[in-house]
Amino acid sequence: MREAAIALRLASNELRYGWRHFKTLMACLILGVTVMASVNSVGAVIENTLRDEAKSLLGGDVEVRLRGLAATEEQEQFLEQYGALSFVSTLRTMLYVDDEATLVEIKAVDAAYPLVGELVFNTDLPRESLFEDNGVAVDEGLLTQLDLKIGDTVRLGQSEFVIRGTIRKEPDRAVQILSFGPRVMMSHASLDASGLASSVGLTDHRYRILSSTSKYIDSSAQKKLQQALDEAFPQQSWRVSGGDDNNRMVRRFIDQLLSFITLSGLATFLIAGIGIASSARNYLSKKLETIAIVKTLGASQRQVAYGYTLTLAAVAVISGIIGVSIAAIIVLSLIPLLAPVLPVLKGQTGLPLFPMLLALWYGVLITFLFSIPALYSALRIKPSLLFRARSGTLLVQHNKVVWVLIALFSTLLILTLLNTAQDPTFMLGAILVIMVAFAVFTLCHAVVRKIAQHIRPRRPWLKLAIRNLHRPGSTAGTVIYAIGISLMVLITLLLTEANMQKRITTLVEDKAPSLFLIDIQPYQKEALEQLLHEYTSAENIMIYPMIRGMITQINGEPVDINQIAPDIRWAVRGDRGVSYARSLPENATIVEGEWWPQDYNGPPLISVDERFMEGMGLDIGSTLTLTILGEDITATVASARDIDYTTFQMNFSLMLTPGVLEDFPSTALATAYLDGGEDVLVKRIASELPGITIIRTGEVLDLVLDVIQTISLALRVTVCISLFAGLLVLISALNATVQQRLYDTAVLKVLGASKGDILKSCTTEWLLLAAVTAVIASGLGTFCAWLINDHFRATSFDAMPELTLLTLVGCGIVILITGYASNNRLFNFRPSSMLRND
Amino acid sequence: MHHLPKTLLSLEKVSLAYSIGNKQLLTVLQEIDLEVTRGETLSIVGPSGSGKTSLLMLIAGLEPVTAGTLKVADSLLSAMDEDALATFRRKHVGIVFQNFHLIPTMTAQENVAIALEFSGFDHSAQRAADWLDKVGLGERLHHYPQQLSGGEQQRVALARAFSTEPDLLLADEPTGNLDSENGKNIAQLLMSLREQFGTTLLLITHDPALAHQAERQLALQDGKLVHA
Repeated sequence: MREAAIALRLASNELRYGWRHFKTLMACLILGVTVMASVNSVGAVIENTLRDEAKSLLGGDVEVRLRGLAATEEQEQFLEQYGALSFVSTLRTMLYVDDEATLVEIKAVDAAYPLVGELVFNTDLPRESLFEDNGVAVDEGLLTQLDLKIGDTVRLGQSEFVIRGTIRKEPDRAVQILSFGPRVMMSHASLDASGLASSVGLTDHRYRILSSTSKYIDSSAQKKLQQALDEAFPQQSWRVSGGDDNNRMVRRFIDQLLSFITLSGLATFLIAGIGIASSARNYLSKKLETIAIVKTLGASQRQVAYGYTLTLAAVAVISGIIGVSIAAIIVLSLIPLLAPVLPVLKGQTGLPLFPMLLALWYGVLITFLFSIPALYSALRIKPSLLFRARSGTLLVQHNKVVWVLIALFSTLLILTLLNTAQDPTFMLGAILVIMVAFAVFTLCHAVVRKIAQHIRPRRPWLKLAIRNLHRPGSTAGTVIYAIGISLMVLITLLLTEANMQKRITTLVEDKAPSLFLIDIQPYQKEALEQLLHEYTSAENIMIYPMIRGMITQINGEPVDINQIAPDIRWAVRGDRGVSYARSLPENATIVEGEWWPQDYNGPPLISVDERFMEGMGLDIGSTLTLTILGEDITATVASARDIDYTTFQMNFSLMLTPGVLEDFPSTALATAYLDGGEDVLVKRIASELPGITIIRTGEVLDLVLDVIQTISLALRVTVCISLFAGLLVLISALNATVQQRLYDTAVLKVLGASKGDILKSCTTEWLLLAAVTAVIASGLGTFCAWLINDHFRATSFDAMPELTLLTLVGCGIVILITGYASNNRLFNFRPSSMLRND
Repeated sequence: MHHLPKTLLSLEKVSLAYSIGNKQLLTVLQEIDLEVTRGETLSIVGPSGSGKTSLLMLIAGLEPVTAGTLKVADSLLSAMDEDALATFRRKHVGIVFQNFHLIPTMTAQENVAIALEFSGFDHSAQRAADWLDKVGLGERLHHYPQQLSGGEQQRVALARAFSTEPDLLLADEPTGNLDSENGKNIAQLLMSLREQFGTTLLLITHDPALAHQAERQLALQDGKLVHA
């Protein structure tokens, strides 16, 4: 009790009179806590909203989806026994106005829609009047895009439609990013009349069920419904999903984005940690005399330890509270800005408590993780030693106890990160990358020290510069870590972004076809081919039939999703496009087995995506059973192809031998590479072959580029914060040594060093530091960018040496300017002021 | 053989004053006249605040004179810029302080070597080791100042000051921070090294016993130099 009282008194005294020493430490902590609290809170708000709104976004408790054909009356009755039913159909098609055509997303709804939430139009017309006689409601953007107004007529499929209103709120629309076209909402009667649903193969029919008991929310109940449907109507490919997994794509995208931002936030925190280590060392250096006096007055090691531990904990908590408060303001300001992209966030005002407390906890952990060596070394100092030196310099020790404590705090930090991560695998990878980066920076720092120790230049100013890189208390380590890690993150981001953009630009210029045409009816195929030949040669045109089918058995056994590798589970989750051909498509490469002969006429053979072989446990000779429109077709695996899905070229993961699918009703897909005349061709297809959906890949890729730029912006903000943290640490590290450098300079001037010697020495030291840091950061950043590039299956990677060079120059300039600015006193002071007897 | 001038240090009506705001001046030294011949030992005593250290700083070229002429080895200090003063110190002056003023992040050997390097000596590390051996610290080459006692730190400072073979050694209370036993040892070492190398010594001290070891004693009173 008495010990606690003494420790408390010591800590309160330190906080009251020593707070000035904590300025940098607090700034670093506030920055780190603010970033982590902001990122995690925004993530939590989105996550919570998506979870809370899952029912509304799904449009019910459970959704049953069919692709292609809608459910029969009997099937609808079967579904109705589970609760209130709403039927929604969605498809993409072309909308025509005079000679203008644009891709739109059609949504046909019934009277029961929406079962959950509210559908709001910008019109006073009741819904029945709005939709009657081919009336539609559209996104506001469509009106602007095509210069339309309410009351105008547009053409969809074979019918004319009248725009009667615009949509203000669509409750089951989670995200408005990466939408291929504006929404056009209509009744099922209008959709049927347009003939689109029957001609377009990619119509999704969604049956939403709202149960009064909500018994279908859990996955086991969903599985039971799936089984019941499969048993009752085995000829159909049913896909049952619940609220939790409906927005899986959106959530996965957001999770991944947040994981990247968290990684950047974590880097900021670690850079802040380096600043904390340096600030704690400086603070405790100044406290050595106090510690010695307290010890000589009879305080025990433990009492002093408690007092300073308590002081640091209090600083961590106070800084954390300030950081969390700033984060709260940031989050509340950010949510309205995100609402246009994520409409579900509209009106969200609540702040999640857990991420804020978590950031606070990170603050405390990071403070102790990074200040332990200095704290331990300060507490162990012998009072007698202090009376021998003019200024006590704290020589930080790293003995067993320090390492054990570092290991303890590191473990706590890693466990917390893993337990709270949105994507623990990604986080584990990120932690490993950061640990490797730290190890590499440590190794490089050690190598730099070693080399510096062995370099013996003749010129004293050069010797001084090199000595400053390895002498005790040198700032080299702090600068290498702080600037190096923030530069590494920056280079990773810039290289990843530049490579993605370059890849997409290359795609547009070299690989991607100009047009992607879908929903081509058999009777349109010949006319389309003729039309395309007017604009390009035969080798630039590819037309393949397509029918939808589902993999239901592997080697005669029903598909067990748990036996399938996670990265290709998508292949067995629903319908896939299946095609057939006599010759190997020009853009495909056989990596296993052989393509069938042109005149093959035997039992069905299939060629699959190479990833299916390992992921589904297939071999050449294995069998796959596809259910196509209720009929099972079993084919033997003949070959595996290497398919690059990112090229926008036509690719089918499943291709059968001819003679198997010809009798099934199918549509066709086509791609065309054009050297010009795209606009005219699109207009001619739209007018001469209505119903064919035209996707201009250039427009889609522009959309993807826009999304990448939006993501990059978010990442850049956090990387800028990391850089700012690095700069803050750099300034504090250089500032912390000013007094020491002044003293050294005074002594050196007495020994004959000129102002020019000091200037040359400092410049050389900082340039050497900048060069070493930038080279390591460039290497590591390039490696990380290559890893990310590889993760996205990109085949080529450009290391962009000009970027590395720019980094080297930038790093040099920043370190020099910061060095001169924070050490300008060194070059203009009278040494006599420091050398007088006290 | 080049004949060196007999007078090493000469001060003519040298004054030093500091501005203390409101156009007021604080006069520290008033019209000091002093001549020191080569090889001479001179001690200056005086109470605290009498201007002893300021006089030493002026002679070392670490403070500019306010008025008067100050020459060391025929070099007019008041006419020199900062770089020329640095070169002058390298060639002619060694200083020993009461507070030792060793660079805390350099070892004993490095502290001596850096002075040799600035003065352009070759094999600075070896020379520094030899000098430390001379002052009895041959076993403590790699120790940092914090790891040395006050007496040992002052020995390093003496080695550093003598190693560049200066014409003039300025010693500011060299025993002031040491106990009497250590003080005596350091004084003995200082005098014996001076004797050995024929260095001119200007000694500032409180200690009458040390002051009497010099050939000539002067006193500073209220910024004026008088005979002790």
